[in-house]
Amino acid sequence: MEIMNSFKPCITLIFCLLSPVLLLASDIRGMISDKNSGEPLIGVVVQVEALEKSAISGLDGSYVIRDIAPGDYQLRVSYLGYQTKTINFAMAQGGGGVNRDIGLEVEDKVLGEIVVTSRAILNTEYSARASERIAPNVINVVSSQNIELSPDVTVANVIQRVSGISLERNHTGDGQFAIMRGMDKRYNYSLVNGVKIPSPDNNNRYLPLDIFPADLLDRLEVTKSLTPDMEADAIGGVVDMKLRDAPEDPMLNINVGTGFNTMFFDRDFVSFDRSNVDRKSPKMRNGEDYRATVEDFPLESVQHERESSIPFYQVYGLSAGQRFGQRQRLGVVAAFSHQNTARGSESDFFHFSTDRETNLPVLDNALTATRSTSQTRTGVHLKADYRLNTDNTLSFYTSYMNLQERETRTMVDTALQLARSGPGTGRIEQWVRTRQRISNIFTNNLQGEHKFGRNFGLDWSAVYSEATYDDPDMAEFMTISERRKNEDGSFRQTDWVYDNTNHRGFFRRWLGNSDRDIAGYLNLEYRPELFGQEVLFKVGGMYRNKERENYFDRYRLGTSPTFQVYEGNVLDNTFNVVINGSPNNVLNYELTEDVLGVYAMGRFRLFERLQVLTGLRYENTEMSWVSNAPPSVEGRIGSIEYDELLPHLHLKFELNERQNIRASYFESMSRQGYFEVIPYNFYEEDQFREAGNPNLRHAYARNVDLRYEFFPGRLDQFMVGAFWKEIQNPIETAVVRREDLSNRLFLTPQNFGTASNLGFEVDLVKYFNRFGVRGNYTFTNSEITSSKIVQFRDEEGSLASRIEDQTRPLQGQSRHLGNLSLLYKNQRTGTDAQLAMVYTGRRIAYISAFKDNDQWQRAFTQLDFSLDQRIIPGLVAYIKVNNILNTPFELEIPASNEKAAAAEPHLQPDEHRVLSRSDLFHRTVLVGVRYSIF
Amino acid sequence: MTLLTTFKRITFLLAMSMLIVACGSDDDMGPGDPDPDPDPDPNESVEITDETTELQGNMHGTLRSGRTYQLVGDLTVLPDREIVMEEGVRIESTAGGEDGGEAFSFIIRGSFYSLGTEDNPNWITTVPENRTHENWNQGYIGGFIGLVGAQDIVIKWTHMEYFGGRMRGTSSVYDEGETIYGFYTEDESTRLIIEDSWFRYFLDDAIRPEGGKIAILRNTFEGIGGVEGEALNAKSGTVGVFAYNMMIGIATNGPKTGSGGGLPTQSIIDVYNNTIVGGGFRRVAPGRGGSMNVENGAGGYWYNNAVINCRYGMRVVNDTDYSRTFIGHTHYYGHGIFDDNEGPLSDNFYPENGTIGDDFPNDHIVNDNLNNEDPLFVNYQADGFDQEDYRNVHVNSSVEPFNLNFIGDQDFRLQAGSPLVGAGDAEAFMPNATITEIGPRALSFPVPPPSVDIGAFPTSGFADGIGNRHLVHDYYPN
Repeated sequence: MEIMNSFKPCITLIFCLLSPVLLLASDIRGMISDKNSGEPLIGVVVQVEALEKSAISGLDGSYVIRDIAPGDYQLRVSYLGYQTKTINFAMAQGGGGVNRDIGLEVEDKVLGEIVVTSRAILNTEYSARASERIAPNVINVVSSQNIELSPDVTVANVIQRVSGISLERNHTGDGQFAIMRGMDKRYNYSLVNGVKIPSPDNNNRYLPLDIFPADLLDRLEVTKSLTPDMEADAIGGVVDMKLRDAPEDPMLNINVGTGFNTMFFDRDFVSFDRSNVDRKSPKMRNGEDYRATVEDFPLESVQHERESSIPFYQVYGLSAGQRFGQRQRLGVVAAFSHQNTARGSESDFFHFSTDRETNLPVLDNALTATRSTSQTRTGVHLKADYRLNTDNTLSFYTSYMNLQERETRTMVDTALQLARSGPGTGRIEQWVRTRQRISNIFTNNLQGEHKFGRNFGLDWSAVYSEATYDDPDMAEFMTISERRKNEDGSFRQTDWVYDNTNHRGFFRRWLGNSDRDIAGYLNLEYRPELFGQEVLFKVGGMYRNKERENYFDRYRLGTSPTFQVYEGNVLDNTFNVVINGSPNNVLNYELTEDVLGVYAMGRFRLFERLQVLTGLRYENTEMSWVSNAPPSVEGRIGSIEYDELLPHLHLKFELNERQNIRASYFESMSRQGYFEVIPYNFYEEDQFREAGNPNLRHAYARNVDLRYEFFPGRLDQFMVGAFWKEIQNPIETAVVRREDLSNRLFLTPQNFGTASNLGFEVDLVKYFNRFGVRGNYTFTNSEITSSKIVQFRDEEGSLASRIEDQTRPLQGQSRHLGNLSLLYKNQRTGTDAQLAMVYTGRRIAYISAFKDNDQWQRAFTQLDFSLDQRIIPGLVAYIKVNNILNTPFELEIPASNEKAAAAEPHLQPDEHRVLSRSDLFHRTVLVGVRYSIF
Repeated sequence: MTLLTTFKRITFLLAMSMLIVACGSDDDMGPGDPDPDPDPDPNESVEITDETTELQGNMHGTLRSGRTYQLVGDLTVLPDREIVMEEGVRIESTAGGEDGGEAFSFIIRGSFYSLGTEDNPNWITTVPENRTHENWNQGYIGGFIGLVGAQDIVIKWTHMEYFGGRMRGTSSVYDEGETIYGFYTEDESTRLIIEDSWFRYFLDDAIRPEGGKIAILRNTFEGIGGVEGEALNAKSGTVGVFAYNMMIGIATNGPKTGSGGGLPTQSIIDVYNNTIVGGGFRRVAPGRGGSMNVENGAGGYWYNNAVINCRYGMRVVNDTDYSRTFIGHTHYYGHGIFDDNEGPLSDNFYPENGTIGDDFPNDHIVNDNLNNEDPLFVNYQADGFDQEDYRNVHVNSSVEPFNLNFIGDQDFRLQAGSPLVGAGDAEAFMPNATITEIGPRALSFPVPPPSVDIGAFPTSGFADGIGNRHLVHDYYPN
């Protein structure tokens, strides 16, 4: 209900905005637009020359000049690149006012037959609305105009402004993955310029969206209902990042900024010296039989270094584009983006078990972790297109993206049960970690578009991509201490000593993967005139071959001599090699995947106002893998093959020019992750083991969408939609009893019967001269039933367990999601401001094996702000403030917590819910200038 | 590979050929066929014959009395197969140990019987040239890995040395490079019977049942655990008894039981009439236990045990099933001081140190002897160790001094005036005998009842399974 209350005033406001504007006496007002495209023009100067009164058109193209005395006047309308227009009007005595809409025509600079193809400019807010209106299926578009004005730095930040989308954040609080319509990230895919590219993520297929700097984007298209010509493996939706295109006129954008995170006002940023980190492990360098020595593991890179000064961000962006040659046939656009940021997190969390008698969570350990992360994102992007003639265009696109993260973490783990004789006493473990993660995406895409005569069209793409991830020499050591109570009641703490036991000790680990995709896409179009209308037939297909290599090499050092005290500097201690690498670990594997898709579809009008798009898609998937594990490991070699035939039907009923009703039905699927089918096995003392699942099946879904759209103004929109999904074999990672693995509990990816997902969404955009409001709200209700363990004491007094079914929402699904942005734009002063709020309702983060023990993420509201101020024409200064409320990331188990709340009130304030985690990320402030030449 | 693959290749090549610019490489774009599985038939087992001298791979049959076999690789007993060691059989591992980066294991999916006798015991050890006291931490043998479906693992009168080597490759049990437990089981129906046997120079837990029915009776454990490890470390799904065992020089605890690990059956193990000496010092971390430990939902009777010169007394973690845990008649003795509290060792025993939670029911702990009385063993200098000795074991992960870690010529039987004599309770409970079968491949005697004399050596000597029978300790290497 909370959310509804917070929305009430906004809804009232929105309805006020939608109601007809009162026409005031002695004002002249109206809308200014491009006469050809109908697009509203922003920043047009409108003058009543005789009175020296003027105005500038607002965000929605509207203008108003007030207090005009009765009489005849001339209105002069001028705008760069358009013909200046002069209009006569008369202001009558005694009111009424004047309403004049004005259409401007483009200035003809060049005469003769020049226009090759008139290209729509797609990155504006207006075209975004137009795309949504015209599309045959359900899509949402975010324009670069909107992105520039928004507080968003990465694509992931941008996407959360779209209705029905929430974000899963990474360990520094940055959004990373999209959850669409309550469907976990695994049910969605991402495209770059319409083409799928491999993910550098070592565990998953989905692209981490924080690797893409937002300023490379031309626009972002979110498709929620698939058409047959799209790859079928999305149940939630598809994000297509359309990167910048070569413009008709030369352009240059420069962006320089800096910033900081407020966390580092309160504490030091902790870094480490990376110069000694070897990208390859000792065995990768010297061969599998090599026996590593302690010299292979420099200790310098493990030592934490405190930085006394606040780490400032560096943000650079440069993009330039021009068309060359005769008739401007060759267009080139290049963009470069570089961001250096420093972030962190402060976490409190708990390890707990489930009471064997009451089945309630019991706290075992209280942990605190402090992270410092510096991130460097670099993106280079080059796109060239060549217009051979009106019918044939070739384009080549290449991009390279790199994300480097360097992280230190200190974690302190206090045992609340073991070796404890009362508050303040007990065992404390301290884990000190240094880590780097390096992700790369390199993609090349050659595309062609060809027309044959009036009716035939063909387009194709040839794609070569590489994605790599390296996590070299993650180093973590553990020391242990004990707090004891003195006879006088005071406490003392013993020295920190190294513990060299299994699963503890001092680990040095290299892991990573490299993926190589080769893909071809081919689409044929035929647009004959049939029955007095243009009918579209389209057939095509795609094939993609993926080769993945994954490596995992882990070493453990032990102290030598065994007993050593850690006094804060690891360089004071001496070590030997205890575990000499893991070349036979099952995570050393090669995997191949071939996907073939073919489809046929048609689009036609059944009645004048009813557009029908229907078709069939066939997809075949073959995946096989070979790992280095010994023969005793089942599933170390495996393959999976399946094919699916997927029907689609999309109906669009055009009520009138401004209103559509859509209905669509399509079937789609979601593939197993590469990592998930590998029979990996992780084991931590007294925690659940983790295991891969070679028998995991792909998920399959039937999807129904309904949507009503209303475009009252040129930039305004109002949409209401509903959806329903039935998902067979949904995949979730949960703790389950694995009968194939000695009947034990494992945290493992698993299929869970059949789930349903039902929801509706409302989307609103309204501009009113200098102000704008954008808002959306999504309600989602998913249901899945799975079996859970209930522990109890049986009649004989033994602790026992039974299995019971529990119905719950899908992992990651929030019942309520909302977005609200307030925009302000003042042309005269050159000011743009945006205040953006995102509300994410509570959702399941981790699924427990035990009934009523799932961990939920608490509902949270995030607030971001941005302000742009023109300094001189072309030069804009900006400030972006993210996470203004310092919103915590909190997890809880909604279960009785009386015992812990009584015993540890400082840790567990609430007796009705168990707090399991709380992370703080603090505020990020970014300031800079942007310079543009068009 | 299939018609579809061919079709795919053709489709793809067609698409590619339509491209105006060729990619320019002749790479095979098709899916790589996975390498044919190079392993031999995993279900074939080789029968042990009179010609057999080396053991490795899948084998079954009988190891003949009086012979020595070399273990040259992992030896696997497949489901429904068995290996029987007659009396007087010696198995010697040729693995290179810690220095050579390898250890060989016994992987049991069927049954394994080592049927040594008092007069003619069996041996599972390393080759003679490696068999030195100095090599105590080499781990030439991994251990017995009893997997799902394993039926019986029965060990009688068998000397076992140098277990706890490192895992090669991953398994569902161990990560690569981890030390392997002496005996591991994971199936609730596996029967693990170990009687009258000797465990020496193990680098991790000697017996680690994570499921199974167990009877661990009258054994001797010496110098167990390199930097960690227990004589018994039982997890959920494990039920049975641990009695009349003599333990000396264990890295952490002697017996430890818990019910973690997620199997449905609660771990209920009765631990009685054991003698534990010099335990807990090789474990660097404080607060981990040093004699006996029960935790994490486990229960059972812990009666008539002697804890002598150990780092800690019995520990009952507060997640233990208190309602099914009963402690009685423990005799504690500690001489000298140790770092942990910079005070007398005896301060680390209940109730001084918080090793038993305040909320443990008072009536579940009876007659523990907290007067720090010399146990008066037949040949044991109870006050013979001091801080320096404990520290040497602790700081250097050492098995010296010898007498703190091995029996040697010490004798842990009770003198007539020992405070342990008659101080126990033989009536308080009936042992949780989950195995009852008697026979050459099962229990030698019914599960013995507790004795009224505390420790593994009742003054009445051996009778019908009661009392430890190891009196001579002349088997140590040089």
